[in-house]
Amino acid sequence: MKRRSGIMHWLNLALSSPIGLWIQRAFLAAIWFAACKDKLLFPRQFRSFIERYQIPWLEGWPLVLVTLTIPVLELLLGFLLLTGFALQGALILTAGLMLAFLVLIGQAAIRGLDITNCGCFSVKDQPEGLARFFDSMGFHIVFDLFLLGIALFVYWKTFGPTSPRRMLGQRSSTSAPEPYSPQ
Amino acid sequence: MFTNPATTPFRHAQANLTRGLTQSVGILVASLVLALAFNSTRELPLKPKPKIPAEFTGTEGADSTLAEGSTPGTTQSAKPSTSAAPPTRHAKDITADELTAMADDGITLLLDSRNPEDYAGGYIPGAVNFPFTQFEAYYPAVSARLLFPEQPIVCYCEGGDCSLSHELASELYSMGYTNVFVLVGGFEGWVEQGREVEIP
Repeated sequence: MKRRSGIMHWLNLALSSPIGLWIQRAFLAAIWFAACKDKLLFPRQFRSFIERYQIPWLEGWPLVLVTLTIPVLELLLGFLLLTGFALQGALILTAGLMLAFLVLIGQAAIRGLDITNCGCFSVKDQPEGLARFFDSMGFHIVFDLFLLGIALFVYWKTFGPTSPRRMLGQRSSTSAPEPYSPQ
Repeated sequence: MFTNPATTPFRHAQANLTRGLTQSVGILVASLVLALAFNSTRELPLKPKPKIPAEFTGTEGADSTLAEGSTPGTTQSAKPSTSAAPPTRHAKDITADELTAMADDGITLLLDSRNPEDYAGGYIPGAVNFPFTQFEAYYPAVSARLLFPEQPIVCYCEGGDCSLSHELASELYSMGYTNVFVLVGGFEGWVEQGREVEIP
């Protein structure tokens, strides 16, 4: 039997361990906490950032609901990822939101919209220095892909068919699937 | 009765996915309810912006309450652009000369929508700092100067292309202040014309 070795093997082991998975969840939670602060405090400015993406159907009440819900959702996801409560849903929503942000930023880039600050973290109109870089669309396309990768990795390792929880024989709180019965 | 070891893990994963999707819907609904509840407790709850007045769009059926009693100014196009400025406009443009003429009436309110650091570097005489980026924080102080719905209010930001003044004007319009203007050229234009600047 071929023995696996090398840095990738050990990295995979470390990241797949319970503490490694918790650290990744904590990292995602920290991102959500950082992202929701300004949006909760200054909803009008956040709404103006969403408007800059010029999505035709997003105006009036739908725009208000999106503006109000996103920061609360980010805050809630942060708590859920940290505590592990409703973790499957929190990870799926984290991945879903990242995908949605990627589509939003990508379509803006393709349409040539001049958006200096994507509104992802800071709601300052003209961020300067490092903040300008961290709020740029280019950075966030790469960063959101990275976060999407983490969310999917954690989900796969925690709830996927090869998860340690599965291997250890620990059942999730869902009802067990029907046993296989040959015809 | 026995289980097939090859398929059971995937069926567990499938069950987890179903459970996760159900939880996702629950989290989304909880977020929506919490967001609406939190918004209703704010001093200034967020509401949809009113329709753009007809005089700015040229379209039929739009709200036209802004037009009456307004002072000189050119209309602003509501056509979507690829600039950073938002597509909605609720204010008329005003030139520096028109502003100077209006400023002597004693009721016109001049609002500097730039950040406090920019304001500290110099502002148009008589302007009050009301940074749009911190609208909720500054509103209580500025609200004492907002006297009546038809009061002329002039907003400006750094230059001619900045969006803060339009966003502030739009917000004030949605709050019922219907006589709102945006200074053409902004603060930079004012300075380039060699006009007086006040430094705190």
